[in-house]
Amino acid sequence: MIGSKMEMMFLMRRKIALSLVSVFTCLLAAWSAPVPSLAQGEVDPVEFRHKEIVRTVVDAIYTQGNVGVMDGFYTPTFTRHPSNSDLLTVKVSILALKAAIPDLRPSIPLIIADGNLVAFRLRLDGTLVNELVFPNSVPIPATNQPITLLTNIVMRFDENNLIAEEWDGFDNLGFLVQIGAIPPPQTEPVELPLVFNIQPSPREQQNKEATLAYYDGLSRNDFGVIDAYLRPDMSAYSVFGKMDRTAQNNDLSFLRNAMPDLSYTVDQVLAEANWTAVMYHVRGSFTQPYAASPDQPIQPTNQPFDLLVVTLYQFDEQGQVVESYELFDSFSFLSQLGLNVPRVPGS
Amino acid sequence: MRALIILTVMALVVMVAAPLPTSAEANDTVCATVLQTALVVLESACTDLQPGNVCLGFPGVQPSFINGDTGSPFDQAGQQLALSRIGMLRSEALNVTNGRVGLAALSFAVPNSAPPTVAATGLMIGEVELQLTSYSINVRTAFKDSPDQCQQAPAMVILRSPDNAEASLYVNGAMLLLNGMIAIHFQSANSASFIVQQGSVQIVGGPAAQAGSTLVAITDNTGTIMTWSAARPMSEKEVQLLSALQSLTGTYKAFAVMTTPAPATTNCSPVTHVVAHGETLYRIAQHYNTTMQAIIDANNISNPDAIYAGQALNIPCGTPTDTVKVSNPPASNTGNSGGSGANDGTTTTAQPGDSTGTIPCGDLTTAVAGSFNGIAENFSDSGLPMPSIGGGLPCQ
Repeated sequence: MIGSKMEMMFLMRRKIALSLVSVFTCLLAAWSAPVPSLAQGEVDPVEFRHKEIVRTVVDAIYTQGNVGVMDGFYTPTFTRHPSNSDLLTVKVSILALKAAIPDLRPSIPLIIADGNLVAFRLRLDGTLVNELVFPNSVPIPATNQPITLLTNIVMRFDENNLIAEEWDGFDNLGFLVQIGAIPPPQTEPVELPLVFNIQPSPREQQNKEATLAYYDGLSRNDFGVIDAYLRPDMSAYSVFGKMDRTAQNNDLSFLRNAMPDLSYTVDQVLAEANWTAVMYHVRGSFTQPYAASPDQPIQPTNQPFDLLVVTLYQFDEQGQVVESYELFDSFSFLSQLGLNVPRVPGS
Repeated sequence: MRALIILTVMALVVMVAAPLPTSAEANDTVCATVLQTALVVLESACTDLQPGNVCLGFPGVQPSFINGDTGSPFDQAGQQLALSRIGMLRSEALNVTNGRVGLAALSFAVPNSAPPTVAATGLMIGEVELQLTSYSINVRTAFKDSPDQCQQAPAMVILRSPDNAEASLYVNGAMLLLNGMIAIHFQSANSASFIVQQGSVQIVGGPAAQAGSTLVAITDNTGTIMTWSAARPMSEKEVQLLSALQSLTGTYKAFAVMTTPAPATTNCSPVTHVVAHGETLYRIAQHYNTTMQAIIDANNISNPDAIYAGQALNIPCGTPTDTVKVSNPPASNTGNSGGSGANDGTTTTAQPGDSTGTIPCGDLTTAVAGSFNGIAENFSDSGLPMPSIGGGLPCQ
């Protein structure tokens, strides 16, 4: 009896928590604005080369499991954020994934470059046919089920065109769900596009500036600015589903009410064609009730959080966001907020 | 005479294999027959395996020689070559069409020892690639068995330490302290299972495991080990794989042939055994948990095939196969401290039946395990570790 009660408590709390994540997701995805931009130029050979390097590396390491190729394309001091992993740690995690999913198939539905930065969306498909190994942990058994991993990544190249840094929006919660470690959230599955609509745009610079202005509006809690950047029929995608602009704005309000000190710090923003990518940190403290469900508000934990988010925005010709693809580690988000299940004594 | 027996047995194998069955079940029968026969041939042909040599147990093993050594054909069961001449050995997967399976017995000698001292013995079975240097071996096996063709066609290398001694082996870039017997089998191009059949194994700078447990190594594409899992109980598939081998009688007999005789211990008294009709030295040795060589030595037997019913044999004290010796008593499950997992100085030991693990520091889950009890408990209840790929928080 205690076990089932605990399970019910856990499921209920998790559902609420995941709802909060969706809210948060929608909020973050709901901004961008029309601004004039620069004329479209010719292909930058360095940016082109950077994108080719990314494609080459992704294919070598995920298709072939050849992590040795990374030595030729990464600096020895390479760091992956937010885990602060070094190159060896990254290699090990890739090999572990490849060992568990030998048929791993990578694809890059979107890649853009801007200066020394490259942003791309990485999708990995395969079947978990072998156990998943993590250092010094008991392996996770194979599920023999298909698995799809998604992440948005920003890479910084150094002056020698070596990859020096990486910011990864990988969502551990979605990953844990897929490997069967925790039950899935009760949301409708969403079909994500495999190919993104990339069109030349004369508004690259304006879109970039619009993205920055949008985040400034978010930090100032200026909903007038926020709305100005979103087309009414826009769609915001996250690992938990798809939302429209109204739903996003509602969620943003709930989140802002629960975390009045919410702030956004843009670390990197880049633009190419009709897309921008932004890597930013969102910070705040859960000090007020979260009341998305009025009869069952989530009580504040007074816990602060600091989260890395990588989001991709598609702009229309008028400079408004048509689609957004946001990824962050929702497991880390929930954990930092302290949204946990209390232990049942004696269980 | 022995060559004639071997040829006869091999011919029988080909005859058995010739009418190709169509069902997987029928194939299994052929596979089992081929494998059993190969092991019997090896057992007969490699009784005098010399330290530092490889003995061909069954045709289907190809050596690559070093230093311009052109070598000679390696195609007769019982033929031996010095491992020092060989850079690489490749053995074939079991083939139901021609009734072949690569099989060889190996005796790794301590470098520069005089007289040659056996450091460890080994068997390579099925599709295996073995790179050799004077101080290390690099094992690669088929990335998966052929379930449709041969359920009982393992591709593995089995290593065994001498009785009552610990073997230090540099395998795929990792130092193993072996006190028993392990089977190495690749699950995929980037992961290898180290299945502890007897005794224990300690990875220097890594985890330890005891009989009935398996360590999984993550390797790069050359087979070099990058990191280790904690020990887990043998999987059902591994148990079946090894049971199949054991039931086919060859593995342990072959090792009994090769292994250094066990010195008598002070805790047992020799017994006398009267040979019954149909008994062999192998069966007697197995019955008393000792080696055939030990019985031969204790009775000055010149021809192991010439024992007779009614003969009284002195049975020396054996080495119980269930004895577990850990040279470096492992610490408790302390987890990782650097994220990469390798060479961090921590050790982990699992007993059969263990089902929990630790979380590498540097991963998100480590940082939140204390506060996020919901998922932590969920993991704990399910017996799963808490992983993180690409995510995580820095170690403090």
